Amino acid sequence: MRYVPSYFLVLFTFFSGVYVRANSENFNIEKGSLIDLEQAIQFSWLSKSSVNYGPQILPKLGREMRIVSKLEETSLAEIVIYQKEIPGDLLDQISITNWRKPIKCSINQRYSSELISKEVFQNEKKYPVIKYAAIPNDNFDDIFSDNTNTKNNIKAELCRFRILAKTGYLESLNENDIKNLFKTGLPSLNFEYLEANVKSFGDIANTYISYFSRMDTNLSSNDEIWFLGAGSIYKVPELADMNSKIADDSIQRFISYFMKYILSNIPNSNQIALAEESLRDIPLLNKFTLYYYSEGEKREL
Amino acid sequence: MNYKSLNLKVIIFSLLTSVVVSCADDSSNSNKQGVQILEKTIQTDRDESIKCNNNKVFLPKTDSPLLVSEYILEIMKANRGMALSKMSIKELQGVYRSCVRHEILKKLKL
Repeated sequence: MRYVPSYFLVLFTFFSGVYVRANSENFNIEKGSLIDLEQAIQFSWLSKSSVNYGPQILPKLGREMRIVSKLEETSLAEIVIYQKEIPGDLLDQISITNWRKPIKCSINQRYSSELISKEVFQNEKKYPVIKYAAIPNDNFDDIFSDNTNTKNNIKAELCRFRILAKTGYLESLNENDIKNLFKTGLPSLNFEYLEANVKSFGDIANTYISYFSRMDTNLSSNDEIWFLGAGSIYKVPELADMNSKIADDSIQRFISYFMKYILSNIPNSNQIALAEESLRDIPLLNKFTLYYYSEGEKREL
Repeated sequence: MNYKSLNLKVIIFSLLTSVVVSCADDSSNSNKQGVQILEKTIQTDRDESIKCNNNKVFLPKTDSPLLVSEYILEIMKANRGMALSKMSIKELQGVYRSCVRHEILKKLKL
């Protein structure tokens, strides 16, 4: 029985080729050819082309576990990117305080395959992984070799970045985003605001709903309601401290969504009907999204 | 028939009616004005600081013409860490009604 491969091994062997697409050129990397894999990733990274791992018919989990294993062996700094949109109701179920807790995370170090496999497996249940990207350690060291403190900070931020990614909160980040992340020391991606992306209006809105619902509250005009709503930016830490790159129109959208949410949660009144009219085209959301500028381009966090 | 007395009554009635109508118009104008204000463009070339209900409120200058909705956000941003940022919703409403709206209307020349 010792020489009889398990079904898992058979399947694993069958699907274990890594398929790389770079520009219009296709080539296969031999199983276990770790140097090739690293080169392919670097090539993909530099040429901004996409890398697809494994045949599409292979279950994602299998592919990911295998890739993680290879990455571990090549000691690449690894970043996992999730592109799947998270349903709003799921966002509500996740407490932000929970995913702020420090977890075992170290950048520029080898991960034990056991740990990574476990994490990937856990995440797979909720957040299918669609894309992987990797950055060679050598480049990482070169970029920050002149400043140890900066390097440590970046490592710490990358650790958080990784946590965010693994919990599925990063959407639509492309290779250039991550490249910038490494090259610019993170000013183009502020992680506080990445977290802001998944915040619901929650308690802040309840204060307004309570005040607007009171019998003795008289709201006289739309601009007055807008002024009161705009005051909510003092209540949101990420917005109260606005020395960031959050776009002005993003703040305006926040106020609009916020007001829409509040007004939709208040029993009808003539005063508010007028304001609702002006917010008619604004979609009703239970969370807010912020935008930032990266290289002059507006991006959704 | 006393025409003089009748004329007086008609005049008084007309006056009362016009007062009532004008009041009603004011009220609806006030609401309509709210919509119009948000959509109007405002530009001011100097920073100002007003005192309102014992609080200092900073009214920033605009680099370019802004919609009133945008200008209100600029006011909020300019008042970070100041009195306005520490107010309750009710206090904010009081400051807006007592002073800020008036200042905006003044800048809009309304």
